[in-house]
Amino acid sequence: MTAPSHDSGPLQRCDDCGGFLPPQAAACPNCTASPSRLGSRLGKVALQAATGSAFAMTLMACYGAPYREPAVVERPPNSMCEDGWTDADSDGSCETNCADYAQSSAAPPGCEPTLTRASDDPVPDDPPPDDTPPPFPSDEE
Amino acid sequence: MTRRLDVVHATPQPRYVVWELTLRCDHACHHCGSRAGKARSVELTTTEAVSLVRQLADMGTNEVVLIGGEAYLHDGFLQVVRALRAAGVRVQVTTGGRGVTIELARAMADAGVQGASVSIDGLEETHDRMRNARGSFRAGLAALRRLRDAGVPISANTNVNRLNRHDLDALYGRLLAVGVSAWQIQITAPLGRAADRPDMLLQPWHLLDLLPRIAELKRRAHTDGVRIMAGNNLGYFGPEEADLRSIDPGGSDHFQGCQAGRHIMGIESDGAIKGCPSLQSRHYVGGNVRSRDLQSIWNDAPELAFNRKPAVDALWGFCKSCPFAATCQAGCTFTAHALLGRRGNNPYCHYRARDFAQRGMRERLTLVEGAKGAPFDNGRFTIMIEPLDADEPGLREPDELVQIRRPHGLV
Ligand code: SF4
Ligand code: SF4
Repeated sequence: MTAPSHDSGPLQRCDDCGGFLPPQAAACPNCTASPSRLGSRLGKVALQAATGSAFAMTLMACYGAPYREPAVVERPPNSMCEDGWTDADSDGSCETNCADYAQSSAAPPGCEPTLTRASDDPVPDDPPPDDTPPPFPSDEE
Repeated sequence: MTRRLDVVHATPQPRYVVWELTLRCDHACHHCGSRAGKARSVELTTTEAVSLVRQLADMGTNEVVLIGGEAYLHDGFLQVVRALRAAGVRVQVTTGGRGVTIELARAMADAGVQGASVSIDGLEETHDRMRNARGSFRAGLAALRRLRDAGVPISANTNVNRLNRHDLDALYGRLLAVGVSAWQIQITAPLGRAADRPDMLLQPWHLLDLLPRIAELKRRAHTDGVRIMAGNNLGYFGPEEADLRSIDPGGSDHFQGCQAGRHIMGIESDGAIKGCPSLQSRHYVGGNVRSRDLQSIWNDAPELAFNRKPAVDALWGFCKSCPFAATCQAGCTFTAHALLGRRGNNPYCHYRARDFAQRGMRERLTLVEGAKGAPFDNGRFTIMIEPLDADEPGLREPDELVQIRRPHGLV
């Protein structure tokens, strides 16, 4: 299979607004700056074209995961609890959340693990959650 | 770097694959494009899925993102992860996180999951409303912590719409606190259940404010070591395009056209193959691996090939005469199709909204044809042009925004 030709050439940048300029642009489509103001970017674009980076893209899809470098970010566990949440037993997990109280009679108000569905949701093939959904995590963090 | 690629000159190859392992789900989100809940009736077995892994590896797949439904609700979830890793393929998981216990998080780490992205769709009240389950927000954050503690690199993803567009700054603080290293933001497109809820959707002019705010947030996040990435349907070609699309500040990346069927592939849980997981199944499924080998579907199915030749001739409406058309080609295919019933013209575009705004106008989307109720289906909207400062009728309470509406009103 051959490579498709989507090559419309590298796009220049506008010095005024930072937007891209289409090939043969008479003016910036975003801010209407004239081409005489665009010259300083040309060298950068030529360099990108030479290295191929002007055509590079980070592959994504909307049901995918964001790009990140394949490396683990090391941070001390206790530094990561959000405001109002604590790692009281120093096990590296922040506690005091509804999930910890799921299925428990000690659940504070607002933490009842009730799945709600809009009563007026009549799309025939719009299935309810599976008949045996897993419970909320109720581990002993 | 497995995901950066010269997409213009490289030969089409399914390098980045998003695989719906099952449609079974423990959420029933109001905006779910696949209307997940129950498993499809004939999903790939574990044996079939593992054998598909070999075909993917042979075709040069670098990375697979396992989704659902909830991928972890497929019996063979961990086996598939192990098979992918053994074949040298990177494995990520995208999840709502509701069923991620400490044990599952550890098992995922042991099996070799190299990243997990948890869907967090706003602050607690908004997220729970959108995802149709009280406690879902807290369960999602708990999943992030459990995965992080198990050693799985964590990130988040958010569908932005009219309910949550003002939550983003505060939500960033919550995600930073829990330790995510990346955050993908995409627009809720009217696909599946979201197509039944048009009031939830952004109008094109909302991008005038939204995209600069996300670009600013991205700059701020960079100083925190968090990488915000614009999903493929968040764009295009406004002044912030390079900031939104580049990995690091100062970059000059921009949208290079939809990569569905060029370097991206989607697999549905029954073995159906599409150029992208979000594409409308009815129009874009090119075959099924149960009846045909993957390579021949990829090579020969016309449903996967629409991006492999310049698509400028297929553009219509505003996009046809857009100065960025040759590069952009109407942005995200599934989003354009979900809005207007076919690809080639995309009103969810920052440049386009700015162009209208400079002329004192804006485009309004109005639902004229409802979706039928199948996974990855769509309705159809029309575009009405009105003054930029026109009244915005129908501003409703949050609970009303997620109600089902048909073209002639509330169901
Ligand atoms: S108007 Fe269409 S072709 Fe032009 S930048 Fe926007 S989506 Fe792309
Ligand atoms: S349809 Fe949209 S999400 Fe899918 S590959 Fe194309 S641009 Fe990306």
